[in-house]
Amino acid sequence: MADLDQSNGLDAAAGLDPVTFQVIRNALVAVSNEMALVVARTAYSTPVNEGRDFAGTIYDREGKLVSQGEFDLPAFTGVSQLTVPEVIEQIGRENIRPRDIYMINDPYVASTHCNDVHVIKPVFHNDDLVGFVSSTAHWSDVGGVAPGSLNCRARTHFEEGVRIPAVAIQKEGVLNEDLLKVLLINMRESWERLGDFNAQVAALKAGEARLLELLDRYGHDTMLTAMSEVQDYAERMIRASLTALPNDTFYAEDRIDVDLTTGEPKTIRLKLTIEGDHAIFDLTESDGAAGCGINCTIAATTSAVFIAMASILPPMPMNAGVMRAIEIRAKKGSLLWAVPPSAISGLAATSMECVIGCVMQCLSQALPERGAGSPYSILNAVFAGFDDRPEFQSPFINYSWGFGGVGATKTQDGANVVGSPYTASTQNIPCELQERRYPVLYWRYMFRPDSGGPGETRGGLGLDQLICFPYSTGSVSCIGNRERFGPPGVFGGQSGAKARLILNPESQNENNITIFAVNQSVGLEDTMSFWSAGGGGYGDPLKRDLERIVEDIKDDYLTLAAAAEQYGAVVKEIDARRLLYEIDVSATKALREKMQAARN
Amino acid sequence: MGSYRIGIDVGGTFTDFVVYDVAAREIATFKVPTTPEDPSQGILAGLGKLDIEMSAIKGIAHGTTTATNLLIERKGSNAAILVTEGFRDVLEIRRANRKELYDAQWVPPPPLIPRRNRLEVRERLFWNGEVALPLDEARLADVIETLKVRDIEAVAICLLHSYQHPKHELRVKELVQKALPDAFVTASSETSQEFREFERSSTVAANAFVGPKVKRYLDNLDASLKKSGVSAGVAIMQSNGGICTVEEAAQLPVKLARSGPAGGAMALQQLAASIEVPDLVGIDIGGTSADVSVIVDGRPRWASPLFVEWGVPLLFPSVDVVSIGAGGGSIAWIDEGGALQMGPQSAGAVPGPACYGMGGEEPTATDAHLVLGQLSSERFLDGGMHIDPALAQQAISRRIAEPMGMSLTEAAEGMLKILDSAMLQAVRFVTLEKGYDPRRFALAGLGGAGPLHVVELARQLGISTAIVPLNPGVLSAVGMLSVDMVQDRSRTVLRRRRAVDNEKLSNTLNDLRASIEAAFARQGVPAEAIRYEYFLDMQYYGQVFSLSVQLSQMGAALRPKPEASAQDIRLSEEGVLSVPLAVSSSEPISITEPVMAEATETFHKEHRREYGHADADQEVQIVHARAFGRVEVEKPEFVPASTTAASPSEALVGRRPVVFEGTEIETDIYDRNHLSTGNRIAGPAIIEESVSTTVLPRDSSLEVDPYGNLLITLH
Repeated sequence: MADLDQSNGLDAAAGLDPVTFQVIRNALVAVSNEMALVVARTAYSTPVNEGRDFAGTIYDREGKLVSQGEFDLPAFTGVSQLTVPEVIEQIGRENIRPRDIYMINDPYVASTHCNDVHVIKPVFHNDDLVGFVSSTAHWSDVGGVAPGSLNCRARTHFEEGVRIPAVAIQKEGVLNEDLLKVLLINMRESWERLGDFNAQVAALKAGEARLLELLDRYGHDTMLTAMSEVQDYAERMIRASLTALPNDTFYAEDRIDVDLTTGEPKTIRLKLTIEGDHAIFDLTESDGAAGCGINCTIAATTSAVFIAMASILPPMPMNAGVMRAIEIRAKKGSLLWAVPPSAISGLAATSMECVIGCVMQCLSQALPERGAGSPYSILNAVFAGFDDRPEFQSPFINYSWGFGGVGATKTQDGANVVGSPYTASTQNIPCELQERRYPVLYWRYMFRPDSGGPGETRGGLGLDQLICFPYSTGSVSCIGNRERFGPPGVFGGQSGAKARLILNPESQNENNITIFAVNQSVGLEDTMSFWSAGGGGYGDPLKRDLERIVEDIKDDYLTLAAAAEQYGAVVKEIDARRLLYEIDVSATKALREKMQAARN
Repeated sequence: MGSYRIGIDVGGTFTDFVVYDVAAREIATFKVPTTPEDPSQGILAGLGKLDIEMSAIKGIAHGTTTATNLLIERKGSNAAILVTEGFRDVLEIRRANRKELYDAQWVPPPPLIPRRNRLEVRERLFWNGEVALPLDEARLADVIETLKVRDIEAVAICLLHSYQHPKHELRVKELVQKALPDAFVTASSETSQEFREFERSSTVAANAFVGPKVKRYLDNLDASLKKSGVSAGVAIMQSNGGICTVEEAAQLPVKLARSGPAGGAMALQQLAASIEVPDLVGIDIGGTSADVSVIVDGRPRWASPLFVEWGVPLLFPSVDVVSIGAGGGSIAWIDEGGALQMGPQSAGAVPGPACYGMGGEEPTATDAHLVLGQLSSERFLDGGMHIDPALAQQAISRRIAEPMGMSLTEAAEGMLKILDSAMLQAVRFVTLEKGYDPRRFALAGLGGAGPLHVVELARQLGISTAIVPLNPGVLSAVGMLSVDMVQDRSRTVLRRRRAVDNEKLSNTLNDLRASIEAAFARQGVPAEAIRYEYFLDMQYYGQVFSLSVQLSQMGAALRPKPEASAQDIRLSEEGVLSVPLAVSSSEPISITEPVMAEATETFHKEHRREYGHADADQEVQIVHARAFGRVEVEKPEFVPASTTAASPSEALVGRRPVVFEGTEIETDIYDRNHLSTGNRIAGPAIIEESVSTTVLPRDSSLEVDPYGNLLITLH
């Protein structure tokens, strides 16, 4: 039960009783949910409608985030803090009019990467600006060198797609069709982009209508008070969580595989200091800017901190109030605070994931009961070309997400092949759909045995995808990480297995195009093996319960060889068909002692 | 000897009986405790309480939670699933999505079939049915050997692209069934012919998982009924809102997953018809959850897929019931930010609300109702249970009122307002978010707690009519007595309009129709008794969701039903859908260019209505073809009572103080059993009956209609 002293702040909110407050808070989340639903139902980009890579958010009149939906991509939360203030500043508060719609994707000030396009509408109630509604969606292409616009090898953002500053795409109800034409002509498959844009505008319309209903029902002043109180409430929640942590400083680091211009890894270093009800996330010791597209924007760095906090700390609403209790420090112009023209389009899979990993590691130390190993890093492979099948005869862009294993917790093994907290709202695209809509064939889409990070509890298994291209030639580009360093474990738990992207594995034509591939040609004869990482383990693998190991063997999560190698468990197969196995207790004891000795 | 038809709804705690006397055109209702181990025992016990000859029973309609419980409690059979090589983990990966977005502590619920029993079959088809890798029958024999030694009772089969090209899948089924003649073997193309490998796997795995036990239960029931002298057949309520025979239900038991709630929605439809209100929302509030369903233009809506729980989609149309975790047992608490919350935790039946005096210390909604005087401490459950107001007061004071600096009644009213806000969202979800203005609906309060909340909910929604039907606690069983036999079929098309061959599409629809006709033939129904309804699910190329466009308005061979309206023709992949129009067509269907042109036009129009924009330049894709077959059965007829001279004061049983919006008012208490047709009562008042209580606030009044329903007008 709650610490009851925490309730005092609520009484201070003028003119708003706690019951009305709670009713309005629920209603605001419902508005965001409905906006998301409209986008899911009507958008044309597969990453948006099947992948659910989107968000629907509500802001107060200052542009502060009030509420987001339950199904929104967590990665947009931190970003959202910056988007609308930037729009207000660029457009000018005095120029904001009813029925305007603004658009922005500029990563350096307000977005993650260029694909994430934010469409924003001011909401007026009786001629008074009361707030904003916003719809964000990942457009599957925004131009640039690589189809899909994710280009790890880019040296500047000019190679990554169209950068859109805060602009009015609609003024007082009149759509700026010329501007829209300029944008769309620079993007591949622009008919899809137009469908996405229309879906987002429809979502704004629905969100605005619902928000106005609430304003009519509860009155202007009550609603504005509630929108501000929602932020105070989130602040109280996070402060209560932070107060429960020890006053101490924690350190963690994580590495991005490679800066393609030097061939060397890039290191992210976090010093987390808890001071009472306040936390400082100091990332200033992290490496400097990279020469390729793995730099992180400050918006994305902020999102990463949010995501990891939300995944380890007890549940709390995510809005601007949370920011008041935390401080994020980074060096401007460094890896984690990119400035133009530094390339950033690979950030989602690299620097951002490593910030998440560092925060999870530090918070796990502070709160072991809710700690966890790190999850796989997202991978995004894009296959593009011209579909030669008779009924298609058109260009295509096929996104393939690599879901993977997530980290183990104190009591539970990590989940196998599932979204990480980072990409939580997304879902995979059925192979049956991909094979109809795109000229591909999946020979395999299943777990990678032995890939979970060993620990007393085991990390989740990664995904093994084997894809061929039976109808068309094309090119493959990818963003990802964890080819050299698996997702770290905690408290002695080990890293999850590493990712890879290889053409024609174990054949004469084997070609390791790597997870940083850009525009690699593939043809009818090629087969592409795409592995995602497993999750990090929790605790010492030599202490893992032997019965759990045998259960893992029965399910082929673990092979007999890996049981010995990773866990020091000697298990004999009696009859696999009948699921009969036997633990050799003395051999296990001896092996575990030997492995323990080798460590020391 | 009279003749009777009986509706039986087996719930978690009680088995509800509704007995319709055909000659007298009257019903009687009662409840007996459910016997979870073998629900047929409870049914026999209930029948034993009837004072009639078993041979006088002319029909039994039965709603069962057996399939649902087996799924939710993971108590199904030792099942295996055979899958395309390389796709062993589809069932466990699901869509790789999360229920809890952020929380690192969240782990997905276990799949219905563990990995050890997910076995791979070497074979592969291309998307268009061409063979990429032939079925390897030698390897299959080895897999079958594994099934044998592991004593597998049920085998699901789901191979890629079988939704249109089932040849490999059916061959595998043939070989497995031959080798394991006693096993329950089920192929995905027999449960659902729709694309998306996870959703189809989930459906067929669920069918296998519950198959043997549901079949055993239905066989037991059938045998015991016969033994006790019941010669009439038993009709089983399906999720699609129609009934089928026991034998048919045993083939596709997964289609019973929403058996009970479907009965409730069908009862709501009958209620809408009898009170002549075409648009009706029903909210059925029990101890732990509230179910919301909706009638639009006199018809229930449908959804596909059905989610029995998170991560277990079932791909077929089910009566659309939105369930939320809010009920009489919902617990009030204060969160770390100081906000008052209700649920989703529930005190359940044990220990129950604080006022039950069974050790519960957490304040619940029931405690709040009692503190406010809305519930009677003496007459709760007809006096069958004593509830203690002092315990309720104590729990609310200590846990809520004191910490939040509120008075006891402020806290109790606040708790109910927050609970109401969750229910309001659910009602808005089935109305506003589907494009319907809730103000044009009436709101019916069902279940034990629905009548307590219904008027206040109506007021907040701007609804002017609230209804508490006769027998609000056993309405599902009433509904089961008067539904049609229904069969549904669908098959994925997934082609853009220009790539659709009209003849092939006609063949698809005629295949579906033939499959429906065969299913009815097995149930002894002649072909001429069947009415067919056809749909195409359509979308803009690139979208994933689809709107359903119904075909019966179009084409020479397809005759429309006169009362057709635009509201009828929607059905979307996730959420909405309405019952299609009926067509009586004895000839095969022929899809022509004009039919397709009209369907496309209708799609554009519907898309604009639903989402505010249409895109005439964008290509339209046909996603699925659907057919429903419907056979009418004899339904109960109720005799309206005439208005009597009796005054409502004859039903007055006392007065007590009740709090309405912060003010305590000495309020009249009525016994519903003694109210007569035509009686009018102005609020404030409380109307009590055996299993529920209606709260009639100020500014509202009720009238008892000729069927015994309470029609409440909000002023």
